Amino acid sequence: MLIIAKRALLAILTIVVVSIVTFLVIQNVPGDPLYEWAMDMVQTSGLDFETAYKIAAQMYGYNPNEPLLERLVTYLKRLLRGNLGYSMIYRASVNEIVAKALPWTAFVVSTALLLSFAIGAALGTAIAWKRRSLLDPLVTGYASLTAATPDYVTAMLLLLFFAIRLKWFPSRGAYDIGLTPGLNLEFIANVLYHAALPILAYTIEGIGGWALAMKGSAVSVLGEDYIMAARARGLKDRRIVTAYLARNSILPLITALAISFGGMFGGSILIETIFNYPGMGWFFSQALMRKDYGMLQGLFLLTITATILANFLADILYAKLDPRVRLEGGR
Amino acid sequence: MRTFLGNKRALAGAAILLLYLLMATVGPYVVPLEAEQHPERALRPPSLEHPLGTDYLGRDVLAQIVHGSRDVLFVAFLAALFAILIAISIGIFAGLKGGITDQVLMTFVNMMLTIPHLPVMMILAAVFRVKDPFSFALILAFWMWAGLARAIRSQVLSLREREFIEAARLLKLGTVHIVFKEILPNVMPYVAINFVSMMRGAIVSSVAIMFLGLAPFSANNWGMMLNMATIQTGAIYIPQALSYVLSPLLAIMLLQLGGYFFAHGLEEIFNPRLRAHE
Amino acid sequence: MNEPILSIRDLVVEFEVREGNLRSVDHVSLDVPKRGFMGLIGESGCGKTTIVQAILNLMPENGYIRGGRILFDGVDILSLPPEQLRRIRWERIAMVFQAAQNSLNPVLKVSEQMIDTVLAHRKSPKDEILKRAARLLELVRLDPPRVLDSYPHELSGGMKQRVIIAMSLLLEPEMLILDEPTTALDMISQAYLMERLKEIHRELGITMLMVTHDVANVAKAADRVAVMYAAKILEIGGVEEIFYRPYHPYTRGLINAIPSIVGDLSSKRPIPGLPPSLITPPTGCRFHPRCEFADDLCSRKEPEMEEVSPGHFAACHHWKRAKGE
Repeated sequence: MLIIAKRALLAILTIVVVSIVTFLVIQNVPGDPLYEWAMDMVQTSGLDFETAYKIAAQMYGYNPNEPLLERLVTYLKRLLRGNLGYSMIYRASVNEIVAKALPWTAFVVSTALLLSFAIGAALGTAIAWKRRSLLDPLVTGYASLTAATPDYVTAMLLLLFFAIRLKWFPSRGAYDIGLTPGLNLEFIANVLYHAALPILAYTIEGIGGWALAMKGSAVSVLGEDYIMAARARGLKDRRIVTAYLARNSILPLITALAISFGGMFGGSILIETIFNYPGMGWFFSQALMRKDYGMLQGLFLLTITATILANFLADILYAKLDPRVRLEGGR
Repeated sequence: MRTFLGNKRALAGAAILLLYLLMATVGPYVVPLEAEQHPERALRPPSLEHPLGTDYLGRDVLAQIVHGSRDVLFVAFLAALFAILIAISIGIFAGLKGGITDQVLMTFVNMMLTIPHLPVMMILAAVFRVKDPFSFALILAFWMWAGLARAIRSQVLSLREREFIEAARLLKLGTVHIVFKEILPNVMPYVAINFVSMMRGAIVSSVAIMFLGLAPFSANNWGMMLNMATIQTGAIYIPQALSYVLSPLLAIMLLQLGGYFFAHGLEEIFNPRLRAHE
Repeated sequence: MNEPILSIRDLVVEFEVREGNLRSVDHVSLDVPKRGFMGLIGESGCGKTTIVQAILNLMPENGYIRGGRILFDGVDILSLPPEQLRRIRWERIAMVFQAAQNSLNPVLKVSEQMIDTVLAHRKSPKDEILKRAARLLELVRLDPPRVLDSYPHELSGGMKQRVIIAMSLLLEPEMLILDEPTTALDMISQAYLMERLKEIHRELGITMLMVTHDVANVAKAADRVAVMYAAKILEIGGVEEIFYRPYHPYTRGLINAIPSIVGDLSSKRPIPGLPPSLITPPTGCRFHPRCEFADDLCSRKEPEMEEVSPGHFAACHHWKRAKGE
């Protein structure tokens, strides 16, 4: 149990430190975001500046007249209650925004990850099992090409050619406006249609990486005695590839899978912006471009927590899957 | 040297990088930037006069790419440099000191490694209104040094056990001497190989940040070009402006490919176990 | 001596390595008598492991069988199509590898691997398989309920070794090949294992072929012994003949090198020199650079196998002289 406790502690510590640091950074933003906010309200709602400023402070979540430490405490208490803050440009609580945006991001990211993992792992195993085939240089070349290209470049190329030029796919939104969301076939099909290119953007790059990782793992497993022994026992190829080769090769990759799940949120910022797909990433970049610090703070903290949690779960998962790794001793 | 020339990847990569280097250093003198705007010539496809077309203000795209390469490479170089300096300092310090200092530093490093880099860099860039390449490079470097520091530290730890450190210590040659004469030369090859990779990472991150318009100190940087072309003007939807949008994309892609091959080629050279055909 | 169940004729096996072609088995012929217990002894690297790998065509990536035939029950198994070869594996000839500790899949329980083994060859309900497996585990003195339910890493090296041996008997093979079964074990486990192997041989009548460099262990169990050196067979004979009346100088050297608890060590002499390179082997008799009887003939012409006494063969030009010693 010791290793888990240590990791858990580190995870919690990181989240706490990040929360505090984020708070301090945002507090020290040059200029006064409350001021801008208040001015905006004055112009749109005709309130006087004093009132507007007070309202802004309330929505933002702190009292500017309090000393720093007290503000920090209020902020932390607010966070612990699960309140992620308030967005200036959308006039809504960050929690509401997250509730609307998170499902889209989660949907696209999970699908892409699982797709690229499945395809990549299958390819990688195939290459390792059948040495010196045509597939090997093809896959390796593909992996090199996609690894070198930044994901946003791939995304933009996809958008440019498939959405704008060829008009095969839509170029914005999660679904067509006017459709009623619900569990009906038309809606679901439309959602998939809109999500296709973003998912593709993640997957194109992902496949290469997973294929190579799986190949590496499989090649080293193939060198193990038990594979040769399995053949000596007369086991059929199919059984060897699935229960002996793949099962052992996949283990180290599972950890990586969980970790990339967390890391995907970082990539979603650009890809969703490019495709105008209303997920967490898109709102994040909106907050960045329009200097909505309240939303920025909330989204950021959520993302960080999710990533750290994902990493942590990955470690536990690995221990569970590999009967050889004991949680106390670690590796 | 011969292995280097024999390695196709390293060679191809080096050739591409050299090309970009040339473009960044000599290019701006060969292809001058147009200061004036010619709105009537906006968003034209490639022609003899403008090999890569014109942008939304009628300015030559090729010139922007060439000048932009200088900005991109400069920032990336600085970022990698800062990152390496920080990594070496912290890595060696933690490795040599050991004990509590080491534990604390390593916990810090582990924390930094679990946090996704790009969102943080973007927030910092947005909050601090980056105005010059140096501060930009610093922000980038701040998130790049962690992994290298950890690797350097473990190298230092293993080196510490070796005889020549013991010998130097016995001769009371002083910590500074140990660091510079014994440790650094052993750590350098590893660092050198990683330099190109770090630059590549810096390029990807810097362009991403600029794409969102968060570091507007240079208008020709490819990231800014993309920002202008897509978010600000929607030129991406106009068929004739294909070259305007495509040029920075391909410029980035090619540069990254070159760096990738070069870095991997180097790795293969220094680590024969990785060679594909044994 | 019984009819041979396995006849290796003129086998040649090569490995492609960076320095060239390494001929690990050079025109080797060997007969394994039915229901016999044959020991194949020799130094490390002499090619004995390669021979048994070749029998079931389980060579590593860079190994190639360049010539010869391996007749099992009259059929040349080297010429069999893959599917038929797969059937022979384990059903008729089972093999226990060197360092069998790593022969088990780490992510499957022992019971699952037993089931795997049988289901690959015949249809059988799982509980039947497990019943038989349990009986075999008892044969090797292991506790079936505990062992079957374990993962490989939960068992000790010696236990895993015995699991593999039990697994090898699942399909009632006619022949069992063991490659260095005692190497990774301590002396007590070794003795224990050899006892179990003798038991299996006695009670089940399975032909055994044991490859090892541990000469002493072979003496305990085998009834026939072949001596190998530098990709060639130098001497073959009954176990008593080989140990008490060795003809080939190399064999004599091997036997003399075995230390015993009684007796003084002064008469023990290791064989001087090192085994030769198999990429560029010595001309003539492979052993001549290290042989005290070697002469010009030995360095020019390779000696043929001659019957030096009934059922006892040696490949040496001067075996008559060596006999006189």
